[in-house]
Amino acid sequence: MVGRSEVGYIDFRITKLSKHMYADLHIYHSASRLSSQRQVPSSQVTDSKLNKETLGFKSLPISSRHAANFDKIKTWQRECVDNHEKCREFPGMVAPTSMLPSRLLDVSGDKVRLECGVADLPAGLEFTTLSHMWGPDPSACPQLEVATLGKFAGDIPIGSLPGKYVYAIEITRALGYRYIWIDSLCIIQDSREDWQREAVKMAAVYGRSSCNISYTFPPAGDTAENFLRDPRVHLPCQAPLPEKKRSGSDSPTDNTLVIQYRPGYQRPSWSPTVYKRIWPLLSRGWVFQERLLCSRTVYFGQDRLMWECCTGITDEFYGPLTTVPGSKSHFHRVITGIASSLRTNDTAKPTNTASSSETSPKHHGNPNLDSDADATTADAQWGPLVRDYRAGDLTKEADRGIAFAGIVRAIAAHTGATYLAGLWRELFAYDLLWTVSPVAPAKDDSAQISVAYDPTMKPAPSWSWFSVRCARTLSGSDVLDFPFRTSMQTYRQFGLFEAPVVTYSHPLGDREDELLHNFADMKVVLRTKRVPCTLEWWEEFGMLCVLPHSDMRWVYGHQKNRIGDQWVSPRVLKYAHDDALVGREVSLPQNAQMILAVEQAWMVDPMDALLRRRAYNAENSETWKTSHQYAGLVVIPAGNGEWRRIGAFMYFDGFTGQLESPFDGAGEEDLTLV
Amino acid sequence: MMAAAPPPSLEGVAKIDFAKRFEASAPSDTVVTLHKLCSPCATFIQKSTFLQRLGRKDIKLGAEELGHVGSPRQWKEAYLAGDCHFCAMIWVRAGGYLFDPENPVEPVDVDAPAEVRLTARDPELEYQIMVENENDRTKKFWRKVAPSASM
Repeated sequence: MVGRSEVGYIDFRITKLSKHMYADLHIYHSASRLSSQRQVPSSQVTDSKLNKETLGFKSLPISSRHAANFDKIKTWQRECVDNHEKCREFPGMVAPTSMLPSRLLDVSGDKVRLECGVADLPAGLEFTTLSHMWGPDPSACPQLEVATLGKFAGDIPIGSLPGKYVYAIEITRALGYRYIWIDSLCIIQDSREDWQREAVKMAAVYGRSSCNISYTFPPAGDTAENFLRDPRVHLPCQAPLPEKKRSGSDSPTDNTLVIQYRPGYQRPSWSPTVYKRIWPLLSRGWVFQERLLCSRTVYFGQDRLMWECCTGITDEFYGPLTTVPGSKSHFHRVITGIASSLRTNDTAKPTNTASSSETSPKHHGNPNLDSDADATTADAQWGPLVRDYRAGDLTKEADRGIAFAGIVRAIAAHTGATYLAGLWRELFAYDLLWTVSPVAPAKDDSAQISVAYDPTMKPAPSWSWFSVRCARTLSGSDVLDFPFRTSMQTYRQFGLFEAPVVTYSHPLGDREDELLHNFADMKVVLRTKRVPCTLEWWEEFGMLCVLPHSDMRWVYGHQKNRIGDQWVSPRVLKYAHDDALVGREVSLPQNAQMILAVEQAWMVDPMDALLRRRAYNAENSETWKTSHQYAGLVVIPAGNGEWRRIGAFMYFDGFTGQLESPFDGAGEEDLTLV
Repeated sequence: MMAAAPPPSLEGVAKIDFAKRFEASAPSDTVVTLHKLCSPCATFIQKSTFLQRLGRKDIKLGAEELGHVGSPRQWKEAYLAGDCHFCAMIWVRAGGYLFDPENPVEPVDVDAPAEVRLTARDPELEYQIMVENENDRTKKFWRKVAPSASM
């Protein structure tokens, strides 16, 4: 029986329609099943409910650019400013207050002019920012140049500006702000010196922005068509029924039908990763930090407005959406999580010479890390953050470091952690365990693999993921990922060994800003253990494997377990070569060595029904089930007694209970990685 | 041998040319009224026994009712005039545009009242029934394959 069911509905279908055409409408009886996410946590909103947010509109403009939508943006802004503590605190977390852009656009009144005396403006300066794509022809974008500085300071004719600038200015005025920052008009584009000075302020500029206005399409898509929509085909239709008193309801207003094109709760899914395909802006490398560093963003340029702040994401039609990895609220958790998982008393500074600040290897767990579950979860967000950033497109590959500098400056400012070319010193042994999955094989012959290359780019050190240039085809790109790091991080409270950074050096060691993006010739001294190894092609699977001491037994293990009729290898040593495009025609590196980054072991008492894990204890190793894992790098000599990374490995043994490793007997030594 | 015609798109909005969409033909400052119904749609809702009963009385799962709601020409006119919310949904989301009087994909009298089928659905109940049937089938399968194991 359907009538009184919580999830029952009437399916509406044109009878002449082809049987294979699934184009139905779904008619619900309204009131008792309505739900609003403002009142019900998203986890409790089931598909059996209807979305009340979608029924609150009486009329709507057919263009998201309509002036009436300024009220919507103002409402979101006011709600956020008044009620979201996280969003109010966020600028203080990511942006040093002393840093201000050198110039802002003053949009007060009807005019637009360049304000060059920002430092002299009263304290508490508020401004908006524009995030946009310049497009394939940067000259089509109006630009500030040395020659036009004086003219722009007087007046910039609004008619000379592209539509996205004009609309951003209109939003700024509607929100009650006087200033807006637009990169092409606030940075002198023909002055390399000015550009470098302003570029490193990005974290401050976007971090202090009262609202970032994101134009989601490239200039070529700057047409009115993109803004248009018919709200009637997106939003449910509410139709009144005759005034008959329903059983179970005294209110005649409950007696309406709700007709919608999808069954259940109407809520689109949104994630920056998926929306890259729809909003080209999100695929841009520079935009990554522009989006994450500001506490509030309004997305415009498409058929619906969207609002994102540290508290959540809201759709103009559908109301609050579920927050996902890669959203601002998750980035907020990354910062706060890393802060809680790091001890910030490490004040070692880089040196121009190889002077050493002694550090002992950490045994039986890392005292710098706590085992707090939230911190672990948030810390684990760092990997996806890096992966998503690296997948972004840049016009100049040489900008790869500086376009991420704002993010790391924000994390470093809040946590006190030390940034080393894409890794954190305090988590270095784990951060080293990045891998690159090869680009997806191209089905189409025309889909050639292209590798990002910029002749002006100075190479990053081999131990940094910045050193691996992104390889792309038309169908996708290679993926920087952290499977080894994730596996090791999960059990970090059971550490037996963790290789510490003894010291690090940089030719520009006295310039802290340079450390955030200029990684050339950076070196790290790691206290670790080292054993010789060889690389071989594994014919059976067509992949490279690494053999410690040139002995295959470390890959398969000494013994095999029997499960049913199958003999299975209880151990496995995985290897990920950094050059994911390497083929058999290439001669494999000689004199390779394996160096240990992290080693862990833990035990489970088989009599414990909850299978709780405990730290390794040799006395119980006979009766308890022991798991053992270690991970590290494969390196080759780089001259001058230094070593260059060529890959990463990880070993796991969850069966044999043996704690032997190829590193047994190897002494600790300080190795310089370049 | 001619290649079979591709199946119609599931996404109605994507299938309609932009030039034929309401928002393309209306001035960009247009504001549409939601929940407004044209006379044929209002009549359809008022007369449908099924819809009247929804929420008041039980309806048997899978029960059907046939009704008539406007015509393809009326749907299109109401859609393009921005008048009727229900017509817009029928036209775009329920495949009404396939009966476009200018270029019908499916053969139909575009001026005659269009027949629609209403079916009582309940996803939870349907899932429950499916699982029960599945279990029966699974039991039969195992009884056949391994009689001793299922004893």
